Amino acid sequence: MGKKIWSAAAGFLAMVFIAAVFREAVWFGFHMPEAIGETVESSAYDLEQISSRWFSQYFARLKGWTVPYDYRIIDARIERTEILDDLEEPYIQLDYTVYTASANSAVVRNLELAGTEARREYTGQMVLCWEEKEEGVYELTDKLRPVEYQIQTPKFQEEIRAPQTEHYERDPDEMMTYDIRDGVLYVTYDAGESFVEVPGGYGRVCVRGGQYTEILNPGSYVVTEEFTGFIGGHTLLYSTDMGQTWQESRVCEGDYMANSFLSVTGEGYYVTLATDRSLGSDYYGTYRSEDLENWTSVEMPDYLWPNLTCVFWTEEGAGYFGKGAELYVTRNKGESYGEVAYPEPVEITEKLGFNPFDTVESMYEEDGSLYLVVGQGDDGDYAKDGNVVRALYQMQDDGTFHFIGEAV
Amino acid sequence: MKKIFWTIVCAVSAFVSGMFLYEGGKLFLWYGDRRQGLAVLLAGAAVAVLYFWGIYRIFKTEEGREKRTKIREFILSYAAFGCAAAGIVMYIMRFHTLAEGVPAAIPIMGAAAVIAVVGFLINTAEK
Repeated sequence: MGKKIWSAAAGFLAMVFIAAVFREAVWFGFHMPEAIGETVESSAYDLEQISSRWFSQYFARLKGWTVPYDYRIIDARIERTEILDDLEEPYIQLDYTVYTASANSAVVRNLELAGTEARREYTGQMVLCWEEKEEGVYELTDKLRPVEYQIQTPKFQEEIRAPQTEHYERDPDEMMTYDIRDGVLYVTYDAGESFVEVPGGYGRVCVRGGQYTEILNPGSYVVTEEFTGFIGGHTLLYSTDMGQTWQESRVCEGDYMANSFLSVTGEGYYVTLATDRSLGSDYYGTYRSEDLENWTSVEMPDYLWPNLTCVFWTEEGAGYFGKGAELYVTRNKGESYGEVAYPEPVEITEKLGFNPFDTVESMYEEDGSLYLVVGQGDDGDYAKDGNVVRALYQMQDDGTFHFIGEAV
Repeated sequence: MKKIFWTIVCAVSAFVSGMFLYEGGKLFLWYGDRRQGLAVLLAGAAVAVLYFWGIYRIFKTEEGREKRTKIREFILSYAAFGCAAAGIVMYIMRFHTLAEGVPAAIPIMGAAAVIAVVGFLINTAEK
């Protein structure tokens, strides 16, 4: 009796094995139908009718027990069609729903589907192009995903070729500043109640490396009632009558644009701009003028030559140069330089376990005090209310900077 | 004649059951579709019932059997065919609703009944 039971079990296992081999052999013989090159007969060039007919034929080949579960579907139906005419040849987009035989990732990947909330129900999109091969016979010449089609359209090509713009939003509380609207550079002296256009300013000041950058670095322009100036290339664009008339002054030869810095002091005007670039570093030169016509170079040590992040000259003529976390000062128009120390913000360092502020970003004078703003550089992630925080320092009477708080 | 009948039934049921069990196992383990895989495995197991009943009938000796026993065996045969038919119906109709499944099940269950009756008649005729 025991022998009979074992024989029955062995026979059953053998049949399961044979069935498995048979099943795999059938599935192995399946090939995903090629769509391109397929033809459909139609009495008229009706893209919807042609595509609908082909769609039914195409997905019918993905049904049945001979199709492996990587491709097998139960049903497919077109939900929406749209004729696309952005290219020379008309295309048709099909939005469809597919009901697969199994909920697995392979079928989603192979048929380029997107999931829905319903189990085994997916959506798909395709864009087709048909060409009349002979009388009443149409051949599928192109089958794309919608994004592939969009990339080919002239509109998209135009968009990706156009310079990318980082848009600027003016601070409404700032009395005297610049603004940009519809590709025009303006200045305001009354917090936005009225604007004065800077002729040709947008194209000259905001272009950098073939791209438009509307957000100018804080030290690169001056907007006051007495003097308004922007740096475009290696030229200073300025006005001394609140924007009624504008003049240009060539600071030095060349046209390379990187960070630039402009300061107005009691003794003259200072411009620092990149004069050279090599091995990924910008090399800077500083120039001084008293009459806005003749510029003389200010002596700079080698260590201040590359990658400056901030340059500011005070009313009294002290020049501060920020380079990353380091800050240097010259009080004799470049004859000698010394490093300026500023303390770590202890509270923040203790809270975070490190000092996030490592880049001197800007300096300004207000009510007779000198302020220093130290940011976090490109990798900064210490933020409050979604804004990256900066450290604000104020110069004390003894000539040292003290941390006075956080700024955004 | 009876042995030939049950041998054919065993071979077919084992093959169909094997296909279902393999497919269900692959769906369950390979594709990670647990629900579908379980349904197909269950269908395979239902068909396998007929195989093992057929094996029992092949090896069972006929001598000294009473009429009551034969009627009981017929009922069990019918149940085994019913099981197999239910498995096939479950496999075919697993994507459909119950309302769609019932009409489709009727001819398959009918075919199972016919095969069971044929088996009974073969058995009776041999006596």
